[in-house]
Amino acid sequence: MQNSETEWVRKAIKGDAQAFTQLVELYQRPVYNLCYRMLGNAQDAEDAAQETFLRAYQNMRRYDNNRPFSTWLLSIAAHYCIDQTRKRRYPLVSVEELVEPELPEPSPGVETVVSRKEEQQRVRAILETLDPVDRAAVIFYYWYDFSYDEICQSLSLTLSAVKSRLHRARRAMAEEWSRSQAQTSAAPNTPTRQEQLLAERMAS
Amino acid sequence: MNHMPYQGWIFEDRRTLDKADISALQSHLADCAECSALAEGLQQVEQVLRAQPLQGPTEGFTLRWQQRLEISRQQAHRRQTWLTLLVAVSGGTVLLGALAFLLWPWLKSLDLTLWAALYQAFTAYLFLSRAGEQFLLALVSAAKIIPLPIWALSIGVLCQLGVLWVVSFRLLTNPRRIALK
Repeated sequence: MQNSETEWVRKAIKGDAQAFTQLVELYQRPVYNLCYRMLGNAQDAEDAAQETFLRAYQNMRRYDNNRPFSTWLLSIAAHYCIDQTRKRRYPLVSVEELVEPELPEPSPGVETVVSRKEEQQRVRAILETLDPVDRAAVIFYYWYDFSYDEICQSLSLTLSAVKSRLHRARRAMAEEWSRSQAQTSAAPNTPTRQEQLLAERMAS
Repeated sequence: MNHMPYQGWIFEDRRTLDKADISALQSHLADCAECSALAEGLQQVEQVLRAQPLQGPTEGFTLRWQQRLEISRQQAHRRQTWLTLLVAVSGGTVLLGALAFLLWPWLKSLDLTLWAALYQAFTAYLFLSRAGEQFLLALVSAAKIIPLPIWALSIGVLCQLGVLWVVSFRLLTNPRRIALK
């Protein structure tokens, strides 16, 4: 796989669109995931991932072969998402969520699915409290197992800046998590909107 | 109680702390509810983050990307065409402006310029016509002086020189017919 990737990269540098398509196929998931975690909704994540691949394709000649292709690609995605987040500067709520939350079909594992969904929403809410660059550092660290050096390269930061940003982000996340835990335990019997809708669906 | 160093260690990468720092932190966490809550919160967040699966795009992502690439190419092509057109029109305008500036004295008195040009053309015509008459006169005089055999000889020599020129030209311009090894 590594050899094929190197070959595709080599061909893509020479302008072979077909070879680059193979790279899109290979990296669509990690790039999309980064965009999704950064931007918080599927539509924006799709747009950002598409734009990332387009920019990568147009700048293939600038790619340095000594660097892993994945790091370079994710770096483009991260910078694009940081710019997008800074541009909009308002809380992220997707239209789908405003209309009706996506509910799982009634099935034996429905509670697990709901709790997983709530957990995802909490993760998203926590990530949204972070500064975009801190968020990107957190995503690289926890989802992609990037080392500090790789985060430095991807976000064009110094080592001390990465350490300090991760430190600040961890503190913010821990505080936010504790706060949300306290709110949940303060009102344990109040059903969420999602739980209400689920109950209605199961009743009907 | 001073929480600062401990809270610093809580959010530090544990691998970077030495044993003494870790044991000091643990004994502090056992006594301090505030720091303990933060440490627990961080631990839970980290667990949840690591447990989250990679999200993938919906089916047909690569196809959508190819369509987007095609649209982007068309846009780039259109942009380039417009740019070329703009540069050509601007260049032409600047050139015409410069030309108008240079020719302005002539353009200002266009009738005089035209009359001068006509006069120059008429003078040139008169000169050429007189030169032609002189040349014909010289030729007729030469024909009377030179005898017929010398005329025939001259024409024969001229024909041979012409043949020689054609043959030499062909030899020089045509490729060799013998293959060189």
